[in-house]
Amino acid sequence: MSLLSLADLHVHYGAIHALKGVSIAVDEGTIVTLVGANGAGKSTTLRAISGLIPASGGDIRFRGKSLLGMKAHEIVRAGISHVPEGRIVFANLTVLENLDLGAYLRRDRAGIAEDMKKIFRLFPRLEERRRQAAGTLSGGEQQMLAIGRALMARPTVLLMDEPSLGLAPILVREIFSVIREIRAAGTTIVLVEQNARMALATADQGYVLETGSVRMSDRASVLLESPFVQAAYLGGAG
Amino acid sequence: MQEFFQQLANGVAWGSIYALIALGYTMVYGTLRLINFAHGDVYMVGAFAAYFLARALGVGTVTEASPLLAAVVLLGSMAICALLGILIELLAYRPVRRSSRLTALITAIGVSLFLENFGIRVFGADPKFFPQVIAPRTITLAEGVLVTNHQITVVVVSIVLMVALTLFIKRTRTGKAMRAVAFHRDAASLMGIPVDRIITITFAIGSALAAAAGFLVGLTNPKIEPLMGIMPGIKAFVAAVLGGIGSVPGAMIGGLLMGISEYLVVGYISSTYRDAIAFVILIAVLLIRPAGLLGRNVAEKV
Repeated sequence: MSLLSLADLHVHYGAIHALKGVSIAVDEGTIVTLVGANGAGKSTTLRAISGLIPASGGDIRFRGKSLLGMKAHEIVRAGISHVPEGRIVFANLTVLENLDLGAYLRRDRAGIAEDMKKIFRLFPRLEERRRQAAGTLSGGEQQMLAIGRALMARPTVLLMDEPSLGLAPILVREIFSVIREIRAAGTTIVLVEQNARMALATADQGYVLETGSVRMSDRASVLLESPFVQAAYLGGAG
Repeated sequence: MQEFFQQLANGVAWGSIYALIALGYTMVYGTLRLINFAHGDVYMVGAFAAYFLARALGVGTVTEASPLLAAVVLLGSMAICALLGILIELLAYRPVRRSSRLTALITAIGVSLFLENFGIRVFGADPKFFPQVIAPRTITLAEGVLVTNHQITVVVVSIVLMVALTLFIKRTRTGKAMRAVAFHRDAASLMGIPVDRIITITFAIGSALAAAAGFLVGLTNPKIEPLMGIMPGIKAFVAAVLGGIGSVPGAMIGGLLMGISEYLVVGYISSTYRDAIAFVILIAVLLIRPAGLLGRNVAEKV
């Protein structure tokens, strides 16, 4: 059985039917990527998993238990962390305070300090800027902080929404190499990306979303070779 | 010059009270983007809670006035208003949390009217005389500059509360969570922060500070009545806007400036215009610096 599974998930924003029966299975220790155009429902899917928006039908199960009806902070406690779209670091707080808040639910001071060191090893730039207000960081540094902050909760599953958006190519490669490291350390990842080529090259499993439905799903390496995906999502990208 | 320093001293004492009330406005605005128009009335309830507590303790009849007694009355009224703040949030504001801001604003005005009429019905419309929980004394600060020990108490208690609040917000886990919620509610909930509980705590703290202001006013101006919260409520709101609504140090500075300008008007122009200065300041801030002195000068997220 999958660690995290979405079954026939529906979400409405008022009159808009944003997800029309999405089913996704995420196995432990893998990277699953959702690719698709703007408005396909990728972010909505992540927001529904982490309880930021209510599902209007279907089910989301994590370790066999339904997450429906749980508040966002309870879902974090259950073991799912979310790196939101647009990073949303707490701009008026320092880098250290942001990381502390990531560990909000934890009480094990020693473990927190150890994880903080790990994050500084992963992102040495953050350590240099640890006393700076997060709002003064560059876009790439803010993305690192958003990822580090989510990792401070020691999640079982990490949801990542467009981590490469707006970053220079060299930083995009750095972020993807970090994503692989996080998976290697045992964290399961659900990755939403518009950069379909990089995402599929990194992921184990892929889902192509179109206007709120799953259009295709397969092993990521298979999708990367699929003529349909190449034409619709990888065309011209090189 | 004596006149100036005398009015400055009076203004600082009143300004401290405005600052305490303004903190509640700014904290609630920071977390909910709601102008809690009932806040001035919470201050009124705080004054009455202190009044009834002092009477129950027999101040002025069976017990001697003492600082210890004053502290008991102060903390008691703060606790009562913290509960009132929690109730207001749960019963009035939480149900309309996802409605438009106009709905929330009208709800706030409704809560305000409710508290005022509740006060008239339950406490009576006639003014009550606040018992002397600390025996009054006059102290000469400098030649021709007189203050009462009550005014000094006001300033000292306000400073202690503001320092405590600042440390709480800066240093504690809950304080950091409050700042995170104020910045972005969804992002805060993704950290595992129970946003609803943090909002409730914000209301409790803001209301307790208003109660402290109510007690301190009872001390210096011992005439309290159910509509006493309206004008100070408006002025403290202006103070919060002047300081930059959402900013905690801004509310403190705004409150002090408001109190001082009011007394300078009293001293140098006419006490007739005492209340008008608040609106002059409000108009000036809105024209010159809408974000306030310490406000973030950014377009609001929608």
